[in-house]
This record gives sequence, structure tokens and C-alpha cells, in this order.
Amino acid sequence: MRSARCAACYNSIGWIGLIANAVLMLLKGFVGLVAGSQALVADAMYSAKDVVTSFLVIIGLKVSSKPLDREHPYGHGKVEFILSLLISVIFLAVTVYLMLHAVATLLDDSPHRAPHLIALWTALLSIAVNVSLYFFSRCVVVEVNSPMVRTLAKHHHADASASALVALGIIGAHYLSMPWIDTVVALLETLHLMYLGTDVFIDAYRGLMDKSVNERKRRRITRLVDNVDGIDSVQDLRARHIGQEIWVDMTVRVSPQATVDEAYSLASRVQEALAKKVAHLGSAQVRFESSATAQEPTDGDATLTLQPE
Amino acid sequence: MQHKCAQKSLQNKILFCEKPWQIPAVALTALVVFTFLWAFYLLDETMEHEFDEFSVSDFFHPTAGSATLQDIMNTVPPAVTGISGGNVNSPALGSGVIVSSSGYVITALHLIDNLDTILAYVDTPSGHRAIEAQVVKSVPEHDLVMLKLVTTDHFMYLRLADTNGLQPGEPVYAIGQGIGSGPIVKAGAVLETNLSLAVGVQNLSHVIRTDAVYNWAQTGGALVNANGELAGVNMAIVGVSGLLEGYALPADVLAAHFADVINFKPAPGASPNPRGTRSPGTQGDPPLRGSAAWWNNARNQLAPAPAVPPMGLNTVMNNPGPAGIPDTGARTGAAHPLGTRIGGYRIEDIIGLALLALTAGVVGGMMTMGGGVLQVVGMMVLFGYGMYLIRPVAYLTNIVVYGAAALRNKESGLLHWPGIRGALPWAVVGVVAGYFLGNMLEDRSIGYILGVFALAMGLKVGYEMMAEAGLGVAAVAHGATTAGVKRDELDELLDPEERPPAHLIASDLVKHSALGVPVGLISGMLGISGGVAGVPIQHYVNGVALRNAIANASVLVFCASLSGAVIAFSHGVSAGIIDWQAPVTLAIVMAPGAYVGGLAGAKLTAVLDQRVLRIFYVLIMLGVAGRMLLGAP
Repeated sequence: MRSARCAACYNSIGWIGLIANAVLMLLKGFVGLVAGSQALVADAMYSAKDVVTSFLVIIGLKVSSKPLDREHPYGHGKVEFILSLLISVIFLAVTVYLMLHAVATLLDDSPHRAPHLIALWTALLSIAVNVSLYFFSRCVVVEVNSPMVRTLAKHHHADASASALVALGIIGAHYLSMPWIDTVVALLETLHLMYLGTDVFIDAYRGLMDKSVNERKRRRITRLVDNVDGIDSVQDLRARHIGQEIWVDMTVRVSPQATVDEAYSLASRVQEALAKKVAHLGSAQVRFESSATAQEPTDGDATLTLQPE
Repeated sequence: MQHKCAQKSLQNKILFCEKPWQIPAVALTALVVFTFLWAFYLLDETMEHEFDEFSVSDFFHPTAGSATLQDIMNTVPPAVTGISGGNVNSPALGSGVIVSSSGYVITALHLIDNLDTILAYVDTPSGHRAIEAQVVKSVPEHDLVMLKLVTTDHFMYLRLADTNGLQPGEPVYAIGQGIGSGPIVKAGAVLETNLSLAVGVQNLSHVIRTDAVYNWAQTGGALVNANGELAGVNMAIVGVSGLLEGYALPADVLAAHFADVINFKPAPGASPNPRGTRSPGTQGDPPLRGSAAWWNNARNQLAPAPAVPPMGLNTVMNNPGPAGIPDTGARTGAAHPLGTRIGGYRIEDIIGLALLALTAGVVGGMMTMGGGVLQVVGMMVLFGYGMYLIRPVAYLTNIVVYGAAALRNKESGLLHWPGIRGALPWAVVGVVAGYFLGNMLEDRSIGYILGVFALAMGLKVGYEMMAEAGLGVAAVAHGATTAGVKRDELDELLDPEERPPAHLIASDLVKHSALGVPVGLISGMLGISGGVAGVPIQHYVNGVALRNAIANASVLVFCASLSGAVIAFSHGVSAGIIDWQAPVTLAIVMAPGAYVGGLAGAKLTAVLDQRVLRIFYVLIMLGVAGRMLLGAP
């Protein structure tokens, strides 16, 4: 961080990106319709995607930070998944509609018409805006090193590339007398968007289904716990995403000679280790059992959950 | 791409905060705005093109190069309407010309002057139909009025010819609706151009004389040139000799008056100067009115005027410049037949409208009321717009002005939410009722009601002044502002901030509806802010402290205006009463003025002498009342 001003940039960059994308979305959608450029309308969906993601992040932060209450003893993290699911379905529906429209246009016999040149201008403008925002966010990434802003920069970069493709398509449509190429670009972009949208959808679906965190993270957690002195092995590990947090339930084996007090403090140390090393840890429940007699478990931790075995 | 970012992050060449990033940012924003405007322009173009086939001129194929009466008869009549009042069976009083595919009709003002309802008889593919019409804009100086057929159908229309270079001797054809259902047509020629006539108490300038007009029924009808374009609107006038003489108001005059309502396109392929010659000085500038006339007068007073003509602009006509001096460049090109314009408006008119809004805003900001009345009356009287057009404009302006006021009031914690929440639904009900009620009433009746309001406000402030002079104490509430900024300290002493409703007379339902409905009704019907009623009701009946009452009213008016705008645009467009473009443009011109005026007014109250202010206010309001109640609008 070079100066205090970097903090100002860091705080405002999310909002700047959100507003810029919202404006670009409206502009590209509107111009795309007026100019008759399907590719530009599809391109507007890229900006729409960014707007939606930003909103989800904001809502997610707001809701996830809401404290647990009596009716929601496990927190509000899953609201984010439900929203993601809903939005990704809407997003996919619009994208599929655009794609079908593009296909229908391509299959149609009637002659294609090259879009009005305002579409080219708008695509170039979109490139300019996204490139500026990319460099801006990169400046923040370098100075602040925030992974969130890094993702943002990536999105701006991708959007600029998408707009560049649209611009190329319109140039081709206009100056190389290939009016159909605009529709082809639209088709390509909608396919890519569907891929992206499906990703969000699958993520949300998995989140709702309490799918386990990926194998890499599982191994990392296992290794962390194994390294805690006094822990013999990790018996059972369940970890899932709730919102942006990771919730962990695990059973560790401790030496049969250990007293309950010792075992309890071991479990606490495991919790501390996890809290220190695992980013976005929401909750960690650690139970312990004896390495010798797994049949006679002793419940550690302040949990009332029954052991699954 | 992830890796790319990570690698690049090693060095940072562009440090944004150390470079002048503001310039590119502003430039990009400007470009985005520009692109939006461009797209709107294109959208407008394409929408026009969709209905281009409705232009009569496109169907006009003169045989063997020159038009015959028969060619005209075969093409033009669908764009000419009969005009009558009352019920369907009453006879046609005259004719009208359709000048836009969405059903805008220009006709003579005196035809419809005393009509309660206006009916236009139009030849449509489904036969001869009587369609109700509403006044959009009237122009008394030229005895012209623009009507809108209340329908979403599309019509054949006439393009405007460029009459800048119109010469005596050119063939023209006058068309009107006859006594029966058929058209009457007569061929003739332009006899004289750019005449000034005194008709009754009125002076008409820039008039064409033609022998093609021979019958009363042709009045308001079309004068068509040999290309099948509209050269003018017919006027049959009894001359000095007692005989009927034919005149017409040329297309340039029409364009000058009505280009703010609809977007006239120059006829395709029409040469702006068919004869290739132009005698400078014989054509006056397009006539000016409203604020434009005011500006012109001001200019004439600065420069010594050679003669005093009956109307401001005939100076040019009476003193033709030396031959050979070319006309000013602005009006010679086909693309700019109407002079420099922004969105159909003369720059003078834009300034005039903005000034009107500013004045209204200042008055409203200073005295908390009367601004809306001033704006609506000003648009009616000075600019000749009909209530159908004024109402949506007023809603939009009020949204901006009262939205801002409500926000400020919210921040300063003056709002009393329980009261607002209860009254809100009623305000929305009121505004819907007010909108439809206002549509049923004639503009003249609305004018009277506005006059009564102005009178009441003037008298109230006048009475307060008297009372104060008598008591020597500022006992009466005043000086707070709709903009919610300043207020007399004395009032604060007299009115505690939060007073529990003392005179709680009836149930909440009655109380809320008694507050909400009048606010909505007035906002909806008259287009002025319902605070006129809302503040006193809250203050005197419900016992709310004055500044809280004003703050609450600002929220109510904002919501009422918002729903009013939604209703006015959805109903107006679907029923074909208005197009959305004209009111939106007007609102864009006026809203900033009203907003700034409100702020300035609020500041001025604190600075200026209250007595002088109020004397001025009373004078203005009584003047408005006199104009609306006594003067023939």
C-alpha cells in the first residue's frame, strides 16, 4: 500500500465498477436493440453478469454478517445460495433466449442486415471503459493485494475482450460484407455466457446441497489438524460452504490415556489452529474420541450433536 | 488469466492517483452520454420511418410532371379533417390538417374557441369517422391551434413544405371538408406573401393571400403546393370590401409554433428554394411568441427600431433590405428550415421556459406555495400549451422538485411517518381521480380553478400582512419553505417541533383521507403541488407543526406526482392523448429551473425584506387570478 489514497480507491472500486457496469449494460442493451446488433445485446449480458455478481457479493456480505438468531441458529449464509440460484436461472433464461434468437436468425433465409455503426462505436466505448477500469483495478490490486479486487480486474479484462470480439464482428459485418458475422459473434458470446451462468448455478446448487469443499481444502484442513501436537489422526471430516464461509465438523482421535480435560483442550487447540489458518472459517465443531476404543466415544466440545456412528 | 494478473502485479506503471485521471473519466462519461443521445435520436428516426408510408406526399404522383386538381383529389383528402363540436350530428364548422401520423391536427383557433368537445371527421380505411380531439397548444397571435386526436391509430398526414421562398404565382390547392362528408378542393395561386392583416381586434402577420380559398368550410384546411406538401392552413376572412377573401398561414409559421410538440421532417427531395431565387427581405423571420417575442422586443429596444409595426416582427417586412443581400445562413439549408433549434425548441423558448420554471421555483421557494400555479398558468398563457400536455410536465417537474425537498426533509428529521403512511394511499387515489377529472374538464374551467387558487393565496398572504400590521407581531405562520430550508425563528417559538395531534376529531381513516385525497386531487387535476391544501389541513385541522406539515406535504406531493406521472403516461399514451416525447422534453427543460429556483427562493427569503416580498407575491397572485378569472384566456 503506497499511500492512504489507496485505501480510498480500495473502498470505492467496487461501487465504481458496479455503476460503470450498470451503465454499460443499459447502453449496450439499448444500442444493441436500436442498431440491430445481436452481438452487442449479448455483450450487454456480460455487464449484467458483473452487476449481478457485485450485488450478490454486497447482499452476501450484508446477510452473512447478520448475527445468528433464535430462528436461524446456523446463520443466514444460505440466502446467498438461494439468490444465486434464482438469479442464475433468470440469467440463463435470458441467455438461452438470446442464443435461440441468434440461431433462428442464422437459419432464417431472409438476408442479414449489418448493424448500424453506432453499435461499433458503442463496442469501442465499452472496450475503452473496461480497459480503463481494468488498469484502475490493477493499480488497486498491486497496492492493496485484495483477491476480491483481483477478480474484479479479471472481469473487466474479460468484458473488454468480449466487447473487442463484438467490435470485430461489426467491422466484419460492415466492411467485409459479412452481415451474418454479428449473429455468429452473438451465438459465441451467449454460449460462453451460458457456460459462466451454469457455473454459478452449479455452485449455488452444490451449496444448497451441502456439498463438501474441494479435495485440496479437505487435505489442507486434515494436514493442519494432524500437525497439532497430541492429535493422533483425523477420523471424520465434514466441511461445507455456507455463503462465503466454510463450516467444518470433524472428529479427531486422541490418546486413550488423555483425560477429558486434556482432550478438551486439544480440541480447542484444533479449533484455534483452524481459525488461524483457514480463510473465511464460519464455524468449527471438533469432537474427540479415543484412538483405542472408537466404540465408546466421549463428547467433547460444547456441542449436543450426537455422533453419527 | 489468473496467472497473468499475478505476474503483472510485480510492477505498477500506472498509478492512478498520481495521474490526471479525472480528464479521461469525464471524457468517457461524456462519450457515454453522447452515445445514449445518439441512440435515442436513431430510435426516433426509426420510429418515424416505420410510419413514413402514411405521409400523403409519398403517395402523390403528379401526372406528366405537373399536378392536376385530380391528383390532389386522389391523394390529399385523408389528411384533411372536418372539425365540429358537440355531438356527432352537428355540422362541420371548418376543416383541419393532419400533420403527423399519430394524429396531430392543426386548425384555426376561432373554430374551436367556444366548443366544449371537439370532434374531427377523418377519412380512414374503416370509413368516415368522428374522433374526439384535445387541444395541445393554441397560438392566438396566428389564430392557430394544434389538436391531438384521442386515439392511438395512425393517420395519413401532410408533410410541411418549405415556404421560405414562396413566390406569388405559385400554384396551390385549397382543400377542406365540405358540408357533406366529401372534400372540397379548388386550385388557385399564391397572390401575395407575407401580409399583415387586422382581423377584428387581432393582427395576423406573415399571411399568404390566395384565390384557392373561397369557402368558409375550407378554413383550417390544407393549402397544398404542387408537390403535395402542406404550404399553409387556410383562413377564409371577410375582407374590407365585405367579400370573402382567401388567406393562409404558411408552413413556416406552423413549424415555428408547433415544432416543440411534434418533430416536423423536411419533405424528402423538396428543394428549399424551388425557383432558385429568393428575394431577401420579402420574407420575415419565423414569427416569435411567448418568451421569444419578449427577447425580440428587448433586442428591438436596444437597437433603434425604424417604425412601430402592429406586430413586433413586421419591422423586417416594412423595411426590406437592399436587394442582393443573402438571407442568414441558418434558415437556407434544407436541413435547417426552422433556424437553430434544440429538440424542436427555439433557444429563446428554451430560455423562456427555463426562466418561467425558475421564477415559479423562486416564488414557491420563498412563499411555500404559488410556484406551481405560476408555472401551470405561465405555460397556459405565455406558451399556449393545453392542460393535456401541461399535466404530465407538471408531474415530472414536481417529482424532481419535491423528491429533492422530501429527501432534505428526511435528512433533517422533519417527517412524521405515521401520518404520511396513512395518507399516502389516499393521495394516490386522489391523484388518479384528479387526473381523470382534469381530463374531463375543459382547459377554461381548469383556468378558473387555478385563478381561484391564486386569488385565495394572494388574499391569504395579504390578510396576514394586514393582521401583522395590526398586531405588530409576526403571529401568522409564513416564511417556511417547500424546499424546507428556512423559517422564522418566531414560528419555531410558537410551534413546538413535535406536538401531539391536539384536535384529533375523528378516526384515523377520516383524518388520513381528509389529508391525502385533497393533496392528490389538486396535484392530479391542476398539476400544481397539492401542498396548497395539504399544509393548511395538517396545520389547522390535524394540529401538525407548520414545518412538519410542509415536510410531510413534500413527501405526499412527491408520491402523488410519481403516481400521477405513471398514470398520465400510461393512460395518455395508450389512449393516444399524448406522445411521451413532448412532455418529457418540456420537463427536462423546466425541472432544473424549478429546482434551482426553489433553492434560490428559500435562500432569498432569509435575505430579503419580508414585507416587500409579500407585497410582490400578493401582486403576482392577484395578477394571475385576474388574468385567469377575468381575462379571456
